[in-house]
Amino acid sequence: MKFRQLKSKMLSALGALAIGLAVAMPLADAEAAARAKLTLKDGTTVEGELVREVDGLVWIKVLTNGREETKMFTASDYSKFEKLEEAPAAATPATPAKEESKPADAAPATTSAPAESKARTANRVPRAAVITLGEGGDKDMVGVYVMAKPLRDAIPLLQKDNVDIVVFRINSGGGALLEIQKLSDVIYDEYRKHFRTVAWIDWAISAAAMTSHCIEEIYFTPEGAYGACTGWFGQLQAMQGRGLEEVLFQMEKISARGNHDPQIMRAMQIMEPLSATISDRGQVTFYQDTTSGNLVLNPKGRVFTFTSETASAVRFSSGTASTLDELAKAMNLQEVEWVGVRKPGYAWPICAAEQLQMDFRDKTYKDDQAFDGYRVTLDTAMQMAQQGDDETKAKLAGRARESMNRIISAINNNPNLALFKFNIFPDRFREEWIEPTDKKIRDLLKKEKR
Amino acid sequence: MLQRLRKALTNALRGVAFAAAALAAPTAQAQDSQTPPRVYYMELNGEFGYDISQTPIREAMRDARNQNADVVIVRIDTTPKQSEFERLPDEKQNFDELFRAQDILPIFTDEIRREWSKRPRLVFWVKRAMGGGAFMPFVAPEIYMTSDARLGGIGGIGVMYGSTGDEVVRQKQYSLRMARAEGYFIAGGYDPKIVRAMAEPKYVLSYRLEGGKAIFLERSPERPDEFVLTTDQEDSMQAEVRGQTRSVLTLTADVARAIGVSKGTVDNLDDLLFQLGLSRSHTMIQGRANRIMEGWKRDVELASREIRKGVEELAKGMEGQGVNSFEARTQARGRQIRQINDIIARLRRFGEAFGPRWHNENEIPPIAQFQIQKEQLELQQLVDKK
Repeated sequence: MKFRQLKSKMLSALGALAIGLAVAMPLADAEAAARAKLTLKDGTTVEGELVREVDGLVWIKVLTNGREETKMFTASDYSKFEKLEEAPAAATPATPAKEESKPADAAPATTSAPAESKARTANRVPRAAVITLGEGGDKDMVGVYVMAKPLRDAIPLLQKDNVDIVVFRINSGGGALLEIQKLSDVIYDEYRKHFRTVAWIDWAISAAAMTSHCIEEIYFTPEGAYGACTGWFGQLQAMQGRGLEEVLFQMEKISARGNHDPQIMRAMQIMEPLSATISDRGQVTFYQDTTSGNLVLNPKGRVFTFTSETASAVRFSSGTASTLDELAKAMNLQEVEWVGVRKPGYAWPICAAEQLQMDFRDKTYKDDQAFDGYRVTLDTAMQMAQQGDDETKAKLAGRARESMNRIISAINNNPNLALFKFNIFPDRFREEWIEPTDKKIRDLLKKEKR
Repeated sequence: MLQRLRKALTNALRGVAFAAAALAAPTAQAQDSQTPPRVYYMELNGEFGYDISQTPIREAMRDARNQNADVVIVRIDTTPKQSEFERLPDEKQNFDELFRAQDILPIFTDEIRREWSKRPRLVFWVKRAMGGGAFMPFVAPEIYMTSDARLGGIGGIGVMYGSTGDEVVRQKQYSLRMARAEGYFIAGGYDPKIVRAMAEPKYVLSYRLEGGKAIFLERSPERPDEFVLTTDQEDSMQAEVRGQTRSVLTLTADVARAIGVSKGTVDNLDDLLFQLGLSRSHTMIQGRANRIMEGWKRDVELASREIRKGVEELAKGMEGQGVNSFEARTQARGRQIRQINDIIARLRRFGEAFGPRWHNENEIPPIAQFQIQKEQLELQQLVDKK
């Protein structure tokens, strides 16, 4: 809903960023040297570097159109799994014995985290944490309440809690384009490296869907909605020209990260139709028209949003779950320990990493609400001080400094407020706002000494 | 093929919903054989989002839980606040009250799952559920209607932005709203085509009955046993006035019954209990629901009045500022700050009922504005001298 377009300077900066980004590959872990071959249920085979393999879920690095990408296969996708090359002994962690053939019969999934995490979980129930990206209401905007910084800060807390699985519960109506790549990077490059990373979609609209799109394993709540990613600004003005092309290209790359057909996201961004055919073997093929597929998902002249029904029908969603128990079942977790403290009014335990997100949002909200007050007080105090005597100046300088410190504290918590409130890039904020403001206040006091 | 796929999908999901209902049913029936089911009854009357709001509903549902209700009956009768002369036709307004409904709906879904040790049988009894209120009954597996019931008033999603901005952005706005509305219908076990017909002008929907079940068809009727729900024609003024629109669907008792939304038409509680299979044996809980609801309405109205009065007095106080002695000015500022604090406290306490329209109609600025005013007064006091 609130998909705010960037100012032109930001767009060009983002464009440069988007173009400069290669599709990041998962960092090599202990099993990276192994190769594997999967025989899919339609008889085709996939062979490549085995990135990760946990209880039926297999990630293989393959070449697609000359480009390396990591694809995930679930137990239901393939009939046979063969490791072609053993991982180096020193690098192979202790993992529970697994059947290498039909993984649907194998032990239940515990975690798809890499080697380090697998070693941790070898002999215990997997530990999972729910992290909310947005909480609806006034605290849902991507770029203000959903940000890469607190997510990155949460990783050590999750590791300290020995978490194996991270479930991102999405409840956001969208927000700023500038944060999408940062969020995608922290989720794809950092979370996926350490944890089995899952999205649980309640309300993922626009930038929130674009953020979630790098995640391959997606579940919906029954009322879940995902899409409507058209970029706009002002009075419902659409992004156009190069800016639009850059975002379309950015989302093609992010679609590849999540192993999602790029035509899906395109239909969510612009009015491209979308249909799909589901083969007898369950293979889903998407088409950017309304005639080639059996199931019309998006008619011409519309922008696409998934419901839980349509997402499940075309296997974009791996399952529909209202509760944690239902989610665990959909994720094939026979046992799971949800990390955190049960609190009244919350549907899942609150772990330290989630508490950090909640605290971040709370402070941002308070600051956001009071921000105009901070600014008005600062400006008024400075103005009033111009005419006052030394004693008055000293009092007002003190009040002005207090307001300045509140602003600095707000921006330390949430750097993007610099952009939204002052139109200053966060990394330039000290130079462009703090230092000049501090100088003005000091100047007031200097005059007092004279 | 497309329709077969959609049908299979819908039936599969409906199957899950029925299975869930079947799982829940034995609990109530088992209870039946031992002790009479305890029935909690609440009425939601008034303006949706103002009188009908999450705080009193949550409190009433907690009362029901604390009183070990086995069955919760919610009667809904929304009334528009504006005068009949100012009101625009029901069918064309209010889709965005969906977002207000979002604050309330989880009380009947997530919070029941979370806070009740045994899920109660939830029944909605509709007299009039228009605008945002139209989304509420669909959280319940069982809906009953009065003979003069109307359910809808969320039409116009495809035209709500008129010609503002670019088409692709308008389509984005429609798409996200429709997906959310459909999501609530899916979660409640109802066909999402119903809400599309209720919301999207000129979406063509008809149905036929197969084995007593409505099969929805996204086209005009083609056989004598198929019935029209909506057409792609404009409604006449006469049809609008009489609530007989065909461009968007407003459910009446008969239509709702025919398409399986309503399980029955009843005009009094005894008949409802009979239809629910509870007439022979049940215990009506003497709940606090009505007192809670009435108390909320009274408090909101009082708060609304006090805020308006406070703002007027504050304006008068500001006008008289600066003409007295230091002591008088200090006293005046202290009084104004107390008034501001009082206004802020009331706005916070009842903020859920005071939406943008209320602020606009009553010319009450947002809380942040009062806070700035308070800061200004503090600064003035800081530099004022005897």
